[in-house]
Amino acid sequence: MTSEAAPDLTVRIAGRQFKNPLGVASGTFGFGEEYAGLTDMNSIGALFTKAVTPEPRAGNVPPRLAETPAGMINAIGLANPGLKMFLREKVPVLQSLPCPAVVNVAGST
Amino acid sequence: MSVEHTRGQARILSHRAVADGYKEMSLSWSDAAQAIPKPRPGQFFTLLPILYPTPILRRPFAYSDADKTGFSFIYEIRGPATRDLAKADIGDEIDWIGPLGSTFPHPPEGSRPVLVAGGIGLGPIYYWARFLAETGLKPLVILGARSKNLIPELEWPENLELRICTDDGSMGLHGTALVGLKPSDMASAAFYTCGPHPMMAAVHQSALDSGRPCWVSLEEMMACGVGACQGCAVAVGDGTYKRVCVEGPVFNSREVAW
Repeated sequence: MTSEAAPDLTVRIAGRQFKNPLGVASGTFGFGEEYAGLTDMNSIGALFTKAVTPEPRAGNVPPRLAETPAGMINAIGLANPGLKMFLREKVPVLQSLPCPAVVNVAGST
Repeated sequence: MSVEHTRGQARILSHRAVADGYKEMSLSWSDAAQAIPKPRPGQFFTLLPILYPTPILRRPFAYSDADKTGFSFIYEIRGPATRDLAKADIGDEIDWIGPLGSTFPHPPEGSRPVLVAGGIGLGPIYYWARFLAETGLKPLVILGARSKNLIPELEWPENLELRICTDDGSMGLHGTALVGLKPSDMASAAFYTCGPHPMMAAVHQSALDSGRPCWVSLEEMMACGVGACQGCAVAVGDGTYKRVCVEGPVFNSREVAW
């Protein structure tokens, strides 16, 4: 297959176009800065951030991880720095990435 | 954002048993290592399991040595991933990410470094002990193990004091690593410890009782190893959590919620 014949992998979700359907799911890529130097962010269709809540959350009491034969399960507990710090410290990093970021939000009643 | 670690491939240069159930592996650097600082004592790296994708998670190991030619680590054959790793041959390639995490801080002026290791905690303590010995400090190194057959055969420099303790008395002093601590060691000690949690907690308590500084190298299950997932969190004294992979693995023992 020549480069001219490369398949079109673009997808549209909610009116936004993504260059491919590969998204790194919530929690696997933190807030986008942790994998700098390890991953070509140009190759990713979208980064889904860790959950952001209005107030900071410390997360669950450890242990938080268990590996299984098929992968792993975790219960991190929505640990995040809260909306204020997210806007101040994380958003500028996300805006500097070559791929779009989808912000994962969580709340409670 | 600064990047102080990278991913590379290493080739196994040597792979030997150093005690019952413990092996030491030495690997050559790849070109990728030119872009990163030399790993310092206390830091760690992660390896892709040798038969990936099972198990799926990378495994963290502390450096036991690093120089221009490559790096080494000591590991215990404990589960499926390390059982597979133990079968790796000289010349095999291994995928690594490193160096990661915090380092042992230099001992305060006028203090004598006292290093206490048990079990798999030996690797980073071995690296730190030789680093300190090279700088002219004469560290006291205390090794604890259940029995003589679990004390790794390693080359130690002459300008350090080594005390071995075994639970069954088959080698060195009879008792836990804490038996190796004499009252006269306490006054000027700067403690560094890595190993089983009860041993580290006891060393921390000794440091607290004698008003001396103490740093601990903690071990936790990790998923990402680079700070993204927050799976390796440990409780700290103010009721929050810190990540062993980024803020640790080396912590001031007074920070940790024991």
